[in-house]
Amino acid sequence: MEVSFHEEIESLTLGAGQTFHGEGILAVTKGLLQSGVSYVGGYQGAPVSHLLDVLLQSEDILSDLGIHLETCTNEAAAAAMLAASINYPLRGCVTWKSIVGTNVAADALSNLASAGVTGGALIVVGEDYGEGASVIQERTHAYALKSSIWLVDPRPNLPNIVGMVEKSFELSEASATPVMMELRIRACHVFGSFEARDNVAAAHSASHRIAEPARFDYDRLSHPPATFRQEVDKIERRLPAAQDFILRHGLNERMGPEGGEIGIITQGGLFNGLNARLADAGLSDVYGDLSVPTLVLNVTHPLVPSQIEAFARGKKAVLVVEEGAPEYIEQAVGQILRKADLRTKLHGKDLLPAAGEYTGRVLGRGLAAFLRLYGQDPSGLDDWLAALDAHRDAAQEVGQPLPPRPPTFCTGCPERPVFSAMKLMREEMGPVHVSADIGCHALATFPPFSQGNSILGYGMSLASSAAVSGTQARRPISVMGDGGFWHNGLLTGVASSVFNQDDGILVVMNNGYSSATGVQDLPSSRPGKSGRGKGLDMEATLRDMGVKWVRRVDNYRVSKVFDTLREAQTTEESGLKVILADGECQLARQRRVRPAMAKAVASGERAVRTRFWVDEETCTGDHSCIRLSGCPSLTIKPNPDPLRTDPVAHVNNDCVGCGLCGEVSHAAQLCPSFAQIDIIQNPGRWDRLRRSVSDALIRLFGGRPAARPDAVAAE
Amino acid sequence: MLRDEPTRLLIAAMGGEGGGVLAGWITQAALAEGLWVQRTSVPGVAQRTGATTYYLEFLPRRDGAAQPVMALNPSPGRVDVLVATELLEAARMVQAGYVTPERTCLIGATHRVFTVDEKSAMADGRLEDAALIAQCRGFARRAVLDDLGALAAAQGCHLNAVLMGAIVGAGVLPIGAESCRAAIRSGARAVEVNLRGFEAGLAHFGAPDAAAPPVAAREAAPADRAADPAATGFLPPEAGELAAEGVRRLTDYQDAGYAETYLAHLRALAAHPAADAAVLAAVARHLAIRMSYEDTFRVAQLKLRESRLDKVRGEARARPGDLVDVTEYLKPGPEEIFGMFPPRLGGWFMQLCERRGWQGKSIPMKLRTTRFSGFIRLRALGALRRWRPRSLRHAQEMAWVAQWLDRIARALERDPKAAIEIAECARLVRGYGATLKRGLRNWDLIDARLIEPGLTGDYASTDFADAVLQARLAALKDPDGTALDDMIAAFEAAAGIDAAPRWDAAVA
Repeated sequence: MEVSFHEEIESLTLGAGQTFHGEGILAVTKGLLQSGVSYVGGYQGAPVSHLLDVLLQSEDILSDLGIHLETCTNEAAAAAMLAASINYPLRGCVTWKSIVGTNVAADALSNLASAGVTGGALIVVGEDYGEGASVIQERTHAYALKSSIWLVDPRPNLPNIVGMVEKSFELSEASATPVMMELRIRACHVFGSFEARDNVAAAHSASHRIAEPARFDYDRLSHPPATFRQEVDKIERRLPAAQDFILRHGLNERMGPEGGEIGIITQGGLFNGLNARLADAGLSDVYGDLSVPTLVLNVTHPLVPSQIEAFARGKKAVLVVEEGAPEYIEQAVGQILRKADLRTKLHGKDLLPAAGEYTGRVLGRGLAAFLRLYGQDPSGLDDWLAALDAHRDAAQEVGQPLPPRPPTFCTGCPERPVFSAMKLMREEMGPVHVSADIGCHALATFPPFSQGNSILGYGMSLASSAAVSGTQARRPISVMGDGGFWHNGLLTGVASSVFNQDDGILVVMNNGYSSATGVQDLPSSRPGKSGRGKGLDMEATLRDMGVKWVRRVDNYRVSKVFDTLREAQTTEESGLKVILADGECQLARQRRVRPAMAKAVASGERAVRTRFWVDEETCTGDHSCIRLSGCPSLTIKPNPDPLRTDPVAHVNNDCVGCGLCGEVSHAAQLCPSFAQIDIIQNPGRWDRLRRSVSDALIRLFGGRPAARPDAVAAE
Repeated sequence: MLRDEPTRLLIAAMGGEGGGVLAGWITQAALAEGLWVQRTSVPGVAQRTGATTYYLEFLPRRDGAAQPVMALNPSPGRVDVLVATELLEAARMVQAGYVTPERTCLIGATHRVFTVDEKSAMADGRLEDAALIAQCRGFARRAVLDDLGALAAAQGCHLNAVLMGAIVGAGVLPIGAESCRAAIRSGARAVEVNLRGFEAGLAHFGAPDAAAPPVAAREAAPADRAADPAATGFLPPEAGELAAEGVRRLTDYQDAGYAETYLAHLRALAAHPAADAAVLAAVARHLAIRMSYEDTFRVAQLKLRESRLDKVRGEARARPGDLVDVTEYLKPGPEEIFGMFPPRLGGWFMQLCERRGWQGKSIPMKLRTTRFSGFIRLRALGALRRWRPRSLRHAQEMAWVAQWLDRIARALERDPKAAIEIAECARLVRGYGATLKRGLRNWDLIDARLIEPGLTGDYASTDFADAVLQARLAALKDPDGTALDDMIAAFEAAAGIDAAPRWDAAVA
């Protein structure tokens, strides 16, 4: 795993009277322990990857509390796991990245929500929306509405987030309905503090097992005719129960003065940003002391009509602050106002943009427009907005447009050479359709590779090539990671392709981990002391599934990868052709290799450190090598040649010696400027003897071997 | 309502740089100072070397007041301290409005980590440092900019420790040095090194209102080289200096006689009444480069340069006692191998290769020049360079040079500005293998479609220089030559030239 939480995990054992300091996701974990959960699970993905990482690294604490932990192979498995709460009084929590994870989980979620739950069921989703998001921009809210799952969107300060975790289980149990908590990216990573409570061990758990299974009860099955009764039950019993609970426990927060002509209804998650703009307008301060009536919805579904009605009554207008499209809350509020026959004017997406993140500037503009409409003076806010515009104009005047800096493959990444080979193949054979996938390899869509024609979801690349392979002259290439392979690609892609005898090429990046989400273990990860990998064999799996053409390549051998790709493209053999591209995630590898090497060197053992080097005298500054690599450690520097002006290529000291530079210069016949440098540390007698003989011969033929600072140091 | 306002800090960094660790230290130090502190970030895949930010707010605790509501996102115009780990990222923050003259103290490292766009450009795609620095200074209330990366390297620590010291030294946060030291000490790794970096950063900016020392110029001035003023005295100063460098280079490349040929070409050009200082400088520069074309003999010679191994040792940070091996990646193809042969024999082999489709074949070699076996092979090749003037490659290169000089001389008659642009086109022809072929193809295309028609007056002479300049820039836009093809087609359409026959001639 990429991040170690060993220090933070200690804070999970804090008890009443102690103050917890940490990030949002860790606070949620503590909230789960304080709520007496019996089981937890999920599938990793930013921004909630750390939730699973923390759980995995705190297995001792979990097992003390008897909590069962499952690292699910995808979100559907995680959602299905909540079935334990249908029949049993077990509290459970699962987590994943949304919207994509919720899409994958949708089938199980529908069935879970229909049957309803006995024990509290909580789904913590990372709402990957706005700045830093890596997926399509949609709202989880839609799932809450269609499946009758309650949606919690907590005001992002830690005491409230933790409190809402605890209340979510109670709400779930009071209304027999699963609850989703959506946490935006920054809320997941917000560092703050709260007063801890003692952890609670569940009555039934891995250490206190339930003796007998639930008795047969047809109404717990999502199967007709029970489903018809369940649909009615959702509306007639569960919904009112939830609304009653929300009111009685004050889950939504009423802030600011009573009365007043205007009011604001906001999603809890947006409150802090809204408060900053209200403070600009002179209507609040840094302590959230509002002077405009505000209803903060910590629960955005269901709304409580009586609460909305009471808030709006007597006001000229309310503004709904709701991020993303469609405007579900605004529609619901409108309906409530209409049914209550209130004349209160409703604003929302008319003053705020219909789509996109509600940044400070966007919120400021909408809020200023709202205040102005109702005779309030937002001059402080207007001044700020005017200053922003003036600044933007001034900055544009003096500054040139700046090149973007999208993420790239890490230094030495084993996936980069495969895309170098694909680029070389494109140069030789012409372009081919490339189905991209989710994972680090999606970074090949950025320069210098700029490859990929579609992305259809995690593990979906091969499936998305199905009709392309049937209608295109050249075979399309689908790229998938081992993460995507086990998540989904094996069945939706490979099985379907074999079944339909599609003629395509699948490249599986076998780097050994789910790397993009933080280097978590997969079923095919190497089994080891610390990891959860089981060493499942992908090649055997593929052959068992009827794939005849399977090749393994060492990614760093660019020429070999190139040849294998060419063979896959040109072979007469029909059917699916799979290339398993082997190369361990360099992040994981370096974390292992570096300390081991440092230790060996310190203890006087012989150790060879390898890195690459560009000969600045033979480099002519064309940068073909960079266009085929893009490695962060392969960069440029001023040309030392007094006659040339274009910068020369240069390998900096971040180089991990993966060898791609040299391989690419060979495979593409670029230039003779690359050299491999092996630094033999603590050389042995044989090394020194061989070097002395070689040096003597070189001197004999008029050469001058390397200066020998080592001669002094040698014993 | 209370007028308290938090202090706001935004850190602009790149994933994997240790910005998260820096933000963590500051958080911990702020807690130790008894402040309210909130920190957020946007991790995820953005951390993989892409641009990212960390945002912190601080507020003193006030008795009886509630926990403050702190923003999760930075707001433009509302940032008190901006810390940037790299110059472009600092400028990006300026453009995004996070650095404003009323409020923001900008603490930035001025080194550059080039973006892929800048690195992969076919010529020089770098942004100008001076312009970026001017932006940072122009918009900050106070700008503390310096080469902190070099300071960190000198201390052997990461940049983040130095930045932490710089932040405290600049006195812009309500956090004292002792709390920071404690925060660093509580870290798991490299505590001593980080503390050293912190103290260095602190000392560097600690003096009140210390004027930041000027940033070193990116390109060091070329070292003075002994030039023989008599040999190049017929040239204006700039061209003379370049020519002196050219003579030195070509003497080393081949011999004094070869350098004399170079001077003879320059003398012939200088005799032309329209040859001004600019065209002479351009030709002096590019003729020297083209005459020292990178053939197999040259590569072998450069690979055995005596200064080379010391440079390698230094760059690779080899410690005393370490042995260093250098393995060269070479892959000569038919051009490199048969180019060494006499023209007729070499030409015959090349034709054979073409007939058999062997142009793409080559011999991958990994030569260890630090071992005798590798050394002696390069030594032998290098020694063979006396043979060079009789080689196929030399004949080809000299024919190219003659053609290029001919175009320049003829252009001087018509438009001296165009002559400079033609001279500059020599930049296109360089390198090895595919790069060299691409350059020659581009030159041939520009020559046939723009230079020749320009010389013979097929289009207005007022367009001549600009057409060649635009073509050269287009040729450097993309490696596929698409931009150049488009540019030429558009130019011919505008000038009403029917170029079909010449097009065939150019690619033949």
